[in-house]
Amino acid sequence: MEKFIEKGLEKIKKEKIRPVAKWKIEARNFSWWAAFALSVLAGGISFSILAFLVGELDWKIYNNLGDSFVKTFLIMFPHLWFLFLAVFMFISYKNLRHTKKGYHYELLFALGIIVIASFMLSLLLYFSGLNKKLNQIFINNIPGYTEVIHTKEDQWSQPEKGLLSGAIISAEEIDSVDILTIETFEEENWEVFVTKDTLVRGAVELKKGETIKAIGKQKQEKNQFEATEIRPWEGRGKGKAK
Amino acid sequence: MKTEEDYSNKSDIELIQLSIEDPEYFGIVMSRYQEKLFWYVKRISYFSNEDIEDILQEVLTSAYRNLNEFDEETKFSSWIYRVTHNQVIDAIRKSKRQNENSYDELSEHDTQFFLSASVDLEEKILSDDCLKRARTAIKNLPMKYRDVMVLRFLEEKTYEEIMDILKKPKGSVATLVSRGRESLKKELKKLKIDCL
Repeated sequence: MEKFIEKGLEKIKKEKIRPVAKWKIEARNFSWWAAFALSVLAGGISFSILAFLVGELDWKIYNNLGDSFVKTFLIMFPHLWFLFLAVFMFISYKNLRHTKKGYHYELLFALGIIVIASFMLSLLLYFSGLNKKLNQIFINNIPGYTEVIHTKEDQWSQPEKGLLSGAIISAEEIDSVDILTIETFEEENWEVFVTKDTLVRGAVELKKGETIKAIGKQKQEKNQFEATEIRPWEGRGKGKAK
Repeated sequence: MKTEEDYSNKSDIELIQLSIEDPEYFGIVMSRYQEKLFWYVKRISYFSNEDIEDILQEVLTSAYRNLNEFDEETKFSSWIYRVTHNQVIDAIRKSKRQNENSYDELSEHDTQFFLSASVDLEEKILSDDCLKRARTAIKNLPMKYRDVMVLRFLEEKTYEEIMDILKKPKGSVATLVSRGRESLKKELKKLKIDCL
């Protein structure tokens, strides 16, 4: 049995095999930690943009669309960012397992650390507003990005389903009916009819430049909309009849 | 060539530190583990003695090349078992011969130990026919279970040591041991081995 030792030592001497330098091993270990940190950061970014998109959406309008909450949730949920989050968490786990003592961590413990780290990072990004900026960067620079995410603008650009939004470009009153001309996010002009029965939420000012959300129904005439409720773009506003 | 007798007062760690400059010292450390490693490889892979010699030679050169990876917080025995485990896995991938070899190599002692880890042995001495059939059941165990059961019951390693050898968390090691036992019980049942 001694033979393998003799042969092995002979091979080491003949091929001048030397132990890999310590710094190279340390560098390799460090690179796994760096990869772990990067993947956690990527997970944190995914988490924060997911939270931003979820927070931006109006989840209570499913009633107006005649859909169930579950259906609305499944359609509007940012699946792409959820997928990214899951992928980066998995990569983070794999990177952690490759570190020197990474195999000591049980799966649930390691995932717990990763979820908490991603969550803390996402909170940081959320409160600094960086998640909003990052989302805008993706919108501006990644072709097709807007096709795979649902935004509040998408939700409120469905006049056929009774939801319309845009910035008021002019307002006039004819026979006790306010007619607001708005420019939608698709850069179309629509006339929104606001009657005495329309509920205009308190925080809305029906003046030029104000961005509004309108609930109602599309009229027969092209680009005309009869509003039953007007809300400010941000939030729901307080109830007040016109 | 330096021999174990000359350096018996030196610890593994001391010899490893000397090995960095002179591989002969590494030969001494390896001579302390050669028999254990030989049986470990045999028990998990069933390779022939010649193949095991080749594997162990690769273990020696690979371990020497990666000597600076050895962390003194871990037992050297666990580290060298890990290197050996990896070499065996590589060798098994390269060759499927392990399934063609004779399983008579697993000794009666090993077989009884393996079985007693999973089932209550009613008979202290098993008949040749029963041993042969039990060896087949052990042979049929998936590698992941056989490996962990060999380490736990034949090599008598602690869960912490197995964790360092297989690079798996302690909980996973415990699960593998438990599933290995269950798997062996099922295999014995499947082969209708009622002679135990």
